[in-house]
Amino acid sequence: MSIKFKAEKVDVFYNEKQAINNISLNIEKNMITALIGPSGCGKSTFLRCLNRMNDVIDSCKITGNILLDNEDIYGPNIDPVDLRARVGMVFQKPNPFPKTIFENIAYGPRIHGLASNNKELREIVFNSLEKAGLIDEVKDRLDDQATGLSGGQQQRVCIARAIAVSPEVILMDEPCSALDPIATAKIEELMNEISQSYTIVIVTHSMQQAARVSKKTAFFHLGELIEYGDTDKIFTKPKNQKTLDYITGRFG
Amino acid sequence: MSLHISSAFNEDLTHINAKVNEMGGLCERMLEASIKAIKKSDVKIADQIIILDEKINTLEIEVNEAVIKAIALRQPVADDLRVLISAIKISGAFERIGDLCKNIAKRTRLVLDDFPKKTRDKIANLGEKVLEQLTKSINSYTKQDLQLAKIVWEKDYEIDEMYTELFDVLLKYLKKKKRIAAGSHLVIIAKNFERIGDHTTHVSRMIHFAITGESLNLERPKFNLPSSLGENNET
Ligand SMILES: Nc1ncnc2c1ncn2[C@@H]1O[C@H](COP(=O)(O)OP(=O)(O)OP(=O)(O)O)[C@@H](O)[C@H]1O
Ligand SMILES: [Mg+2]
Repeated sequence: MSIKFKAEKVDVFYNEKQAINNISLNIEKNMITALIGPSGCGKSTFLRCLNRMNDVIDSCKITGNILLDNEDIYGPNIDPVDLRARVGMVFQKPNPFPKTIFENIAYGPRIHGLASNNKELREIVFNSLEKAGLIDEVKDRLDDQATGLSGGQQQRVCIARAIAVSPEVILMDEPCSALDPIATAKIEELMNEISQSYTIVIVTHSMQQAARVSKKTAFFHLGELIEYGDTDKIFTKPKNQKTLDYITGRFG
Repeated sequence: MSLHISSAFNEDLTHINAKVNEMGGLCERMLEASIKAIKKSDVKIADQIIILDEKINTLEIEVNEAVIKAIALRQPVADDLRVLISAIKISGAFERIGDLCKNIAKRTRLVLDDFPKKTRDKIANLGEKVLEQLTKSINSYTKQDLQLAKIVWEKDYEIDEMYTELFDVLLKYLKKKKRIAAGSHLVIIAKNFERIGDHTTHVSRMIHFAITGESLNLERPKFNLPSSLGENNET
């Protein structure tokens, strides 16, 4: 197993307030890792460190190292825009652009110059929709507004949009929290299918979802990493009492 | 162990636990009664045992239903899941113990008058040893006592030893007196006590598993098979 992301002694502050405390964590390549923990424990903050989405928050300061394929992503040679093409993100609320379905997917490849002509661009769009498991549902209405789709379909448009720029990593922050069980199952199945070729990090409040989709699970509590390990171990015999209390829904 | 945030889930678990405990208590009573029936040559006691068995059967079904409901509605993990799975297994073992006690009672009715007190006492001794183990095992469940569960598991060989000895005695008696039908019932009664011992050990292993998440190794102190394997010695 090779390591995709290596976080070393990461601290994150919003002004004076420390949101992440000395977290070191290796995220393995082409595998699904779940981040779980109570609300406010720093899951989203940590996830946003991985593609420098925190850069846009002025009060946010990060120390420690985060290496992607052994390269410091906060180093001088890294362009955050390029980084975000390598490390895509899917958010809790589906957020398609107010454009057609086609344009939603084509936008990224176009600005990153991934297609040299219209035919190639169409291929990328179709491929991405196919991978996102959406092609059959939308192939006759690619010129419709993406915002007119159902929530689950919109979320899969967002996944297709993330896939379209051929990222290496996809970060997902509670991607299914607004979806019904069928749409959720489709997205989980999609994650499972693409996980051979992508490294996926998912934040989820659903223990069952973490248990179903991920190979590795990290449990965060009050900004600290309490336990990290194989998902089947975490959900059957966690080592730490805090982890046990959390996954079984006990008073800590 | 701290409580769950969901009070309804706490109640479910308490409820299931109480039912399993109740089953254990019934098994104890049935086993006690079957020993008494043998010792005292008492047919009435044997009849009571048969009624208790029905109660155990009903409870087992209730435990199964409650566990399935809890799993479906609460999606338990880790020790919660182990506790529920072992509740199913333990209640299954108690149900088997109930059946075996019933079987002992039925056979006892058939053979009581036929055998000298000395022989019956030997069988009752085996029963008492098994009862001792069963009581410990139930206590270890009620108190979630890991040490006690382990002791029960380790001591099963003592029952095997007693059974093996008894088997030889019964066989000799059977041959000498040519009382094949009645003698066979006695052998099966003894064997049933030994089986109850096995189920008791299984219960203690499940308790251990629920608490620790570790299975007790299947290898434990074992005693040999009876020295005379019936058919080989038949002349
Ligand atoms: N933009 C921000 N400015 C100031 N504080 C923030 C900001 N974003 C997050 N925080 C604080 O940082 C801590 C961690 O928040 P974060 O959003 O990472 O938690 P989370 O684990 O994702 O929670 P949830 O499960 O509710 O999404 C919280 O105390 C939060 O209030
Ligand atoms: Mg969050």
